[in-house]
Amino acid sequence: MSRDVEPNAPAGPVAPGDPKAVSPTKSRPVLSIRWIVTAAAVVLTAAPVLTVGFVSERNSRAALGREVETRLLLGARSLATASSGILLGEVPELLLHPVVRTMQDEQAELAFAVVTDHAGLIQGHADARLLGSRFTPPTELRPVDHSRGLKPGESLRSNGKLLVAEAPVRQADGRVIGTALIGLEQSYLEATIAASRRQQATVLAVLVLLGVFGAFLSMSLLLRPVDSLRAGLERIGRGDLETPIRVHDRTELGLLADSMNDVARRLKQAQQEMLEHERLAHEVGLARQIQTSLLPAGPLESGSIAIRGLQRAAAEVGGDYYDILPLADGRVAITIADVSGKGLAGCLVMAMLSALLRALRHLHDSPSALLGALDEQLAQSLQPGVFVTMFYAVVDPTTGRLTFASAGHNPTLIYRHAAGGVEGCATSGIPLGATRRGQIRRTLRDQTIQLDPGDVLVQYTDGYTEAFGKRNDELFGLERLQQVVAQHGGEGDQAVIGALRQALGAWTGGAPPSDDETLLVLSRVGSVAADEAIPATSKDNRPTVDGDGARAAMQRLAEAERRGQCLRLQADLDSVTKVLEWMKGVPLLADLSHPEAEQLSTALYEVCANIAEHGCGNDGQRGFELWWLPPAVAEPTSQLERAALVREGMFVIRDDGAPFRPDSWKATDFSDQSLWKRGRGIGLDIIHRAMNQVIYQPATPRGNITSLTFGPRTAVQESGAMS
Amino acid sequence: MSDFRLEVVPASPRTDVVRVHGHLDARSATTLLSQCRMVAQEGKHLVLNLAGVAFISSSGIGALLALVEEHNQTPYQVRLTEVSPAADSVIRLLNLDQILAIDATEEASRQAVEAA
Repeated sequence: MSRDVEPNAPAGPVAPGDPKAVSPTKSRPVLSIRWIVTAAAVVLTAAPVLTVGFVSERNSRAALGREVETRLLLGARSLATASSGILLGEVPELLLHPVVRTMQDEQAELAFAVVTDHAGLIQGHADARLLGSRFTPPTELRPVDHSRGLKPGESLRSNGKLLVAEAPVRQADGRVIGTALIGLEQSYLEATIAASRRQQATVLAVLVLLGVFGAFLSMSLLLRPVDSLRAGLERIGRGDLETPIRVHDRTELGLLADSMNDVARRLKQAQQEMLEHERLAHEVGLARQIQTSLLPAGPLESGSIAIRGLQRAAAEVGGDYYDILPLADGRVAITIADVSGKGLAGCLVMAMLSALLRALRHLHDSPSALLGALDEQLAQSLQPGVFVTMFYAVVDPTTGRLTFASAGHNPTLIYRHAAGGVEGCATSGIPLGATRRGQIRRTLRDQTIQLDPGDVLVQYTDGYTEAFGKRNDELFGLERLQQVVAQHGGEGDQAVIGALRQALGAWTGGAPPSDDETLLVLSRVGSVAADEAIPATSKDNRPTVDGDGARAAMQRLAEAERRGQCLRLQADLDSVTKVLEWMKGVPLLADLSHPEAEQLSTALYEVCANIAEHGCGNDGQRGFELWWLPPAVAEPTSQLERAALVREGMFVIRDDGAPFRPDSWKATDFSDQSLWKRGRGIGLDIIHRAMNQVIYQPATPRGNITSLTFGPRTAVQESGAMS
Repeated sequence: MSDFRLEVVPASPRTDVVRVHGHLDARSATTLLSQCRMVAQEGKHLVLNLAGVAFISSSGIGALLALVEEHNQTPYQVRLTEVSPAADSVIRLLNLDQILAIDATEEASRQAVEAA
């Protein structure tokens, strides 16, 4: 598993309203609430009706049965009573026949009606042909439970098909003289009940239809808001949070619509807050880029001084600023400042300060005068309560003489190599913008100090001194800062920076900085002997011009301009890397073997990088020229010959930057590991080990001219002597 | 401008490999130092794989030397491995191949730092 240090583009959140945020709706079968409720209504309506009908039928059947039995028995009794006087007459059959016939005509449901005499002979019957014959009652008749209403001699019997009531015909004295029988078809009872059932079924059907219709109608009315709710939800899903869901309903659905409208309103609010947050984050990112772009691209080494800055930015955009600015006279200005307050306002003040400083630095030789002028300009723009602490110094890279002024900034720490201790330099200046009537000028004053070889000057912002400890609320403080500088000052500027970073990291437990942590370290390098070896300089500290050397250099440049190949470069490291590609397209140079080509291109890169950095201060607006001057010989025939001819050619570089000494080189003894941390001078080692001749002619009428030839150095040359 | 990139690969619980890609110059050297110091702070040995280095400047060499020197002050080791031809030619030019610990493979470096 590996992790890439390069920041990857973060996967951005899906923006609200983005179609990607809406999950696709899958179509699936839908059960309509209307039909569910209607079916439920049908079941709920039919079930009681059917239950009631069933119970009612049972009761009706029982009641009807009893009624029919009673009516039949009464009919038998009535017939027996009517037959009592007639049966004692002369021709009872003539009188009973019409009586029975009339009875059967009036009661069609009767299967038969018959009157018999005491001998069982039929005396009354609707069919006259049967009169006088013996009556044969239906078979398999069984008594029916109707005992409560039967009188002596009466019976009520049934065989399943017929119900037969029998009543005795009595004389006045109670003697039985015959029998009256009436039969009724059982089917009559069933037909009567079936008719009742049909009526019930009709009523049930009507009730069910009414229930279905009523349920459907009421559910349609009740569920009408559901369509509006669904449409509203779909709108919200599409990202439309503006259109409210309009449901005028006093049921729970109305409350649901209100809740959904509230959700949409909160979503919209959250969406706006998120967009605002993203916009602010974008602006902070831009501010951070602006802030970073205002800082120096890298360290500066000029003459006997090396200047390095380091800033560890807080999560919030801070107002720390530092800069390294070469001046026209060869001196170098350094500054470090802290704007009160953070955020975009602090960043804007920092940008304004940087622009003012770059415009005013050439107008004021005195640091205190420059700070006074900055105060005057800034005071017009700063809000009340906003101020800037600032340290500004100008150093001569040749002599190590440094003049500085401080507008309320932290004390400057200077590690003195000779004494092995740290001095603190505090001044009485008040911050820029602290007052509005130019009172600052009375508090500012210039101080001049001499930096000797091995001395290290350290400036910083309160991100260091006011960093809170991991285990307590104690500040890192100036005293600890001084201790670290005292312990590591003797190891050089990079060691001081590394030690301070490490000490602060240990103090804070590696917590992200709450304020920008900015360091600016200036060190004077080399030994006293090396200082003395620097050639005599003119009044303006520029090396004096050797007349013969300058003429020879200009002749080489003219020859290169006549028949050489040129690469024009800007004075920044990005442009200098073009040297590597350029070489691959130049005849002869492209024929070099791999190690030689790498060594030559690296050496040329180092020369150009030194000119860009130390001569031109990495000012991309300035430029210089690299020429390849091939040997004036006949066309080579083989690759070996072409490669060999590279050593007979020459590289000529012309620049207008401040003079520096690429020719003053002493081979680094890499076996001495104490030098490794300093990491300086290696460029010259590469140049001088890859080139067998380096001639530097500064300040000719054509500018500084450096001439180099490629090839291994001799043993004598490697010892440090210049060619 | 080269696409400088670092890739940190844990080779073992005790060793991280930092693979360097692109131009190792003044700007990228700072990033390299920061990243490698983090490895040391995590209490691990460091193996620097330079196979992807297309160009190395004096600042890059300075960063390598500073790293070795810093690690010498700690219990943790640092070794170089799979040095690209571009980096190798400059290292040899400065005779640093006689001083720096350089191996042919990451595994060889890992074994060497963990055995030390």
